[in-house]
Formats: sequence, C-alpha cells, structure tokens
Amino acid sequence: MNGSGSQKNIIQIRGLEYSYPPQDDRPAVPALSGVDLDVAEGSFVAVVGRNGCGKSTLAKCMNALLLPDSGSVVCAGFDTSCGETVWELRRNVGMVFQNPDNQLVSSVVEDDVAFGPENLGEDPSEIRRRVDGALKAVGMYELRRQAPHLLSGGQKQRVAIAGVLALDPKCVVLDEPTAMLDPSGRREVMDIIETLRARGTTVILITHFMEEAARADRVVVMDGGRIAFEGSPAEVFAQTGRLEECGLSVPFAAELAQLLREEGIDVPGGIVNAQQLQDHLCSLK
Amino acid sequence: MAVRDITIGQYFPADSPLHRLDARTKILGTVLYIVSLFCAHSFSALAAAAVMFAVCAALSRVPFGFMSRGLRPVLVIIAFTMVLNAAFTAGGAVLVTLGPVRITSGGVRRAVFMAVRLVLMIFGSSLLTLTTKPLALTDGLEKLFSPFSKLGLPAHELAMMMGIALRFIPTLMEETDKIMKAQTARGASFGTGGPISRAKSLLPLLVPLFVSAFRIASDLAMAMESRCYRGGEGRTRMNAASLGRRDLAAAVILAAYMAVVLMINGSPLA
Amino acid sequence: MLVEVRNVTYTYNEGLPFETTALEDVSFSLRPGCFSALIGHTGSGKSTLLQILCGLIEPGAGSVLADGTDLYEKTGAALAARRRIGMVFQYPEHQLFGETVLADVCFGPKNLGLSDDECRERAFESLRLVGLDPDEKAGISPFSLSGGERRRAAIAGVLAMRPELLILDEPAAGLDPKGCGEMSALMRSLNEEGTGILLVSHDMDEVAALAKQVLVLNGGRVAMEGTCEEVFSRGGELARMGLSLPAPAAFMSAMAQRGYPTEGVALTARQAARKLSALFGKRGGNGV
Repeated sequence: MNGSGSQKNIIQIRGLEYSYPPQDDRPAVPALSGVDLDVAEGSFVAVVGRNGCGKSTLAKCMNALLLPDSGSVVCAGFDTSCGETVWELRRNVGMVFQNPDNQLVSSVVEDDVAFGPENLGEDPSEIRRRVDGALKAVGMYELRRQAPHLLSGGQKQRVAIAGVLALDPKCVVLDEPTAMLDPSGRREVMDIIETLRARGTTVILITHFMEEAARADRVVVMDGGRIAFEGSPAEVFAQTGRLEECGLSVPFAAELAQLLREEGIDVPGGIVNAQQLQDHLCSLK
Repeated sequence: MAVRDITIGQYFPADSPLHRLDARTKILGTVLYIVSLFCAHSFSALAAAAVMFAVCAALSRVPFGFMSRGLRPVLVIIAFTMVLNAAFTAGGAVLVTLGPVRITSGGVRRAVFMAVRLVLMIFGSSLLTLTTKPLALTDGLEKLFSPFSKLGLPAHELAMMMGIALRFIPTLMEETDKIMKAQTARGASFGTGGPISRAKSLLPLLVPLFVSAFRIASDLAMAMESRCYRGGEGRTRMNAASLGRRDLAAAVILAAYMAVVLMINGSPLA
Repeated sequence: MLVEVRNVTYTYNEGLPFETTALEDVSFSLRPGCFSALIGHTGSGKSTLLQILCGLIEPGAGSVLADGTDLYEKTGAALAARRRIGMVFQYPEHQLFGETVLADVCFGPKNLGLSDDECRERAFESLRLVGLDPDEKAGISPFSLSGGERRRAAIAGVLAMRPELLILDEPAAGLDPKGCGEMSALMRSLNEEGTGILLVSHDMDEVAALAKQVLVLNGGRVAMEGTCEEVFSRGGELARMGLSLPAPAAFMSAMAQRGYPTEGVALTARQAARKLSALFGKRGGNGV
C-alpha cells in the first residue's frame, strides 16, 4: 500500500487471530479475527478505532506480549511465536503504554531509562552513552536526576519513550500514549514522534485522536477485531460515512472542507489538516 | 496534612559524600547505628548517637525540614510509647498521681529516653533512603544477600520488589488521597463508629486501592517484559557500584563510633 | 441552587518556606441550572477550586455559599448544602468498589440515610439516566463492565445523590470519539432537566459545544468570565495562559493572520464554513 515493493516491511502480520482466555464465569473473548497488516520500514502508521475494537491487542501482539492463536506476526524479521528470539524482537520493537505512571520502574529518571539496556547486559559505559543519548532525544536530559512522580504527565511519557529508545529499536509501538495527557503533554509527545520519524524509526501510533492520526503516512481503521479499511489520511478521512460506522469522527479540517464543498467552494479532496486548507483557501484569491 | 507529605522511604536528590557512599556501606552502617541505639543505656551514649546523626545529616545536605516532615505521621506512635513508659515505669520520686497510675521521675526519664531513641532510629534509617537511590539500595541489598542465593534465597527478586515498592509509594499515596476524596464527596466517612463498622467503612477506600494496585502491577509487569526484563541473570548496571576508599573511611568512622557508644555506656539507666 | 464563591484564597504549606498560593481572591457565581465550564492550564488552581466547591477542603479565606448557606459552617444546614453539590472526579471508574453495580450506586444514597427501597429506586433511576439498563446491569459486578460502562456506572453513583449542581472533571478523558459524544449528550440532557453543570475540560471544542458560560482560571485568579463567544474571541490572551481555541475559532484566527479577517467568532465548523463562504464562495455576500 505504502511506497514501492522494494521497501522492506518491518512488520508482517498474516491471518492473526487472538482471543482473551476465559475467566471465571466469562467465556473466551475474541479480540482479533483475521488481521493482515504490513508496515513499511521507516513509515509512520496510525491505528484508530473505537474502544474494544482490538487495536491495543494488536499492539501487544507486535511485541510478543500476546501470542497469536493462529496466523503469524513477524516483526523485524523475528516471529513472535519463536520463544528463543523474543528478546531480540523486543529490543527491536519497543513499546510505550497509555498510563505514564505505571510503566516507569525506577525512582530516578536516568535509572529508569537505563533499565532496558541493563536487562540486555550492556557494558556500563555503553549504557551511559545510550541513556544520555535517549534523554537528549526526548529533551529530558536536564531532568535526568528527577523523581518520576514529580514530573508532569507529558514529561513522564517522554521518559517512557526514552526508556524504549535506549534499547535502540528499529520500530516503536505507542499504545494511546496521549490518552491521559493534557493538551500541552499531548503536544510534547507528538513532537517526539515527529523526531522519531525524522530519525527513520518506524512509528506505530494507536490513538483516539483523529488530529494525531492525520499526521501519519498511513491510517488503519479497525472495527470488531478486523481492519475495516485503511489508506493515506486523505483517503481514510474522505470516507466520513464509513468512519461513523466505526464509531469515529473526522479531523476538523476534513469536516470543514466538506462543509465548504457543500457551500459551493472549490475544495479538493484529500485535505486533512488546517494548514493545507488555509493554504488552499488563500490560493483561491 | 496531605498524604503526599510523607517522606519516609523517599529519595532526596543531592550530591553529597553520603550520597556517594556505596549502598552496602550505608545499609550496614544503618544496621550498626540501630544496634548502637539498642546498646545505648545512658543519656550520654544517646548523646553520642545524636551527634553522629547530626554529623551525617549535615553531610547529607538533605534539608532538615524535609527530613522532619517524614516524622509527623509517626508522632502518634512516639507519643503513645511515651505515655506508656511514663505511666508504667516505677522508680524515683512520685511526681503526679492519677488514680491508680503514679507518674514517677524514673518513668518520665524512661519515657524521654525511649522517645529520643525512637526519633533517632527513624531519622537515622530515613537518612539511608534519603541519600540512596532506590535502585542502588536494592542493588546493595541484592549484593549483600547474594551469598545466600545458593541456599535458595531469591536475592534479586526480593531486591527488585523492594525497589518497585519504593517507586510506587508516592503514586499509591496520591491514589489513596484521590479515592478518599471521591468517596467523601459521596458522603462516606472513614473510621467512625465501632470496630466492625469502622472496618466496613474502609472498604470503599481499600477495594479501589487494591484494584488500582493490581492495575499498576499488571501494567508494570507488561512494561518491564517489553523492555526485555527476564530476571537478574545476565543483567548489568549503569552505575556499577564498587567499594572505594570512601567506604573504607566510613567503616573506620562507624567502628570508632560504636566503640565510643559502648565505652561511655558505663552507667546503666537508673 | 445558586452557588456563590466569594473572595476565596487557598495556600498550600502555609507558613513554610515553600508555601504556594493556589487560589487568590477568587469570586464568581453559578446560577441555578447553569451550564458553565471552567478552563485553565494544568496548575492554574482548578483542582483546588473544585475541591473547595464540593466541600472537601476549607478555603483559607473567603466563603462558598449555596443558596446563602456557607458550606463550611459547622452546622447541619452546611452539611445538607454540601450534599446538594455532586462531584465526578477524573477517571471516576477508579472509585468503584461495590459487589454489584446496584450496591455501588446505592453507596451515596445510603450515606444520606435513605431507606433501602428509596436507595434502590434512586439507583435504578440514575442507571437509566446514564444509559445503563438496570435490569441487565444492576446485579453484576462493576468490574465486569466495559471501560465506558464503568465510567457511566460511577457517574450514576454521584447522580443517585440527586445533586442540584454537578461538577465533572474531564469526564470524557480517555473515551473514544463515540464515547465522548455520549458523554456530551448525557451532560446536555441532565442540564435540560434542571441540574446545574460545571464542566472542567481541556477540550475547548467540548466546552464551546456545551457551555453557556466560561470561567478562565490563570495563576490562581479568575482571568476571564463570559459566554463562549466573549471568551474565545480573546485568543491571544488565552494563548498566553497556555490555552488554545476551539478548532473553528483557531482556524478563523489563522485565516485572519493571513489577511482574511472575519467578524465575530466561529465556534462550530458550520459557523466557520458560513463565514468562509462569504469570503471565498461564488454565492458569497448574501448570508452570514
């Protein structure tokens, strides 16, 4: 879908099925049924969908935190169901979670960032180099000796991202990293995602915010444990009706573009952000 | 007082000689200090312990105000021990008679002695956590206990558990505060009535707190696993701690201190 | 119920070297049946103000009056007044504890001293209000509900106290777009039936779509007060307080900066579209 065929896919998912095991009196809950997905190396893919559509489950499958009931998930060349290479896989595919508090292990920022490379058994000097590099990349180097509980939500999430970057991954999967943040925290995290993209790191962003998804190269819409449809942001957000069926909305600029078309103003399809629409309007006169 | 004011178990970031000591030295030093407090039987020995604490506290560069905030929650316990000691220790002149209870000068002396000892113990051990990063602390414990791991003691796991507990104390305190306020807004009152109704009144606080502790645990387990955590084997440390000259000096000072306490301990408490 | 906040000041760690003033001389009032929004950057004093409003922490100076009764007097009337104000905290589902949804929702009414029958009646009514079918959900554990349902069950627990003023702190946080829409609909219907609403939100589009009055808190003081149109026409000042505009207003303000100013403020996409069509459309000029 994205780019030429020569491009390498860092993630290849084929016929993925997953059900949460039965609990007490509850039967097994199917979460994913027949997901096929390829993610090109270096691309930025957003996954959107209503609560319970399976997008978080999908993210966990990419990190071998959940193993497929059937089908296959191959990330960075490693099959998630192969027990021997699972650590190699996790080193290459990092994961950032929703709750900024519940993923920081240490009471000091830099020790937390060191946690990953320490687990890999790196040399102390190499760990130090990576920790400093990762903290600088997310702009938290100055606060490296701070205690996490004294940081803002956005800062905590940046530390969590640094903790993943210290593993030097090829791909970062972020599972609703902005859901619990205020607008400024959300902006901080989105800025870091742009930095990752510029470094050539593959980014997979699970989100509820259509404005965030509109910044991706590709948007995947999930519903009922399947991929409902996908495409470039322009393609996806043009399909207002299908998005509504999936319990989603469109970014403001796409909505406004549609209303302007109804008013008889010549607005081309494919506008998903405010800047594009403003540029177009200004070019009319 | 807000719950978040509690400083016991918190780390105070600073760069001091005490902060730079190896965690193992500080752990053993703290143990020795507590032992010395139990050995001290006279006010002069206690004074030596107080001087030792004052010197260490000054060296640590932790503001005294910050340290003493941690004492507030245990003030009740201290007051309670004081009352018990004053009321039930005989000896010396009778100062006050309250019904069957006679408060004697010996009792008051003992009450003051026990209170000072308790305060020094709390301050002394809080100095350990205030100047030692939790991970360094748990690393130190792990190294101290690792000789026993051949006997089946899970030294790494225990150390990791303690480190995580320390990391999440402030988070859980905040959570407690929030849940308490939310239930108060629904008309709850905590800890009133008889023992059974009092215990029952805590359910609306304890159940959500357990639920949130479980949520934290499962989130954290997943985050740790995704960051390649697989137990202590093959793990390295960014700040590989090694015992240095500083630690040797500390050991000498501690030994000298212990000797002083034992020496001036001559006259046992009347 | 008329709630008046008069010259409220609150200081944390008073008398200590690191004392911080969270609120300074805050005054405003909430009319009966109002739909007001409180906005402010993180750290503006919002959460302190909320706790003072619902009777949890006593202000250092000033007073909060509910229909003339001071919430912090040590009287039965003050207690009764506090109970007329309901508070839905952020992530309210984290306070659920009952064995069943019914038991949880009944917790508030029970604390009011109501009979079992009355509690049950109120619980059923509140569950219906939030869109949970009591016949289906009342008997099950709140922990077996879905995330969105849990939040609604928790809100039902507050509604069962029948508050005349309901304060909601970020009620849509973490919900998907459909869930956000349902939350807006719930607040609107409660307000239409006469409950006063004070919404605290970072989402300016949510505020613009719902609130009739907006109160802006900055640095512990009331920085602005007015209708959405009044407040959101002062984009520059809001930006300096770390606050943004609703998307349509932000769009129009960017257009203005590029040389296409328009009269008034657009709060919805439709309003923005009308204004733009007057500027750029072929049929422009005959509407707006």
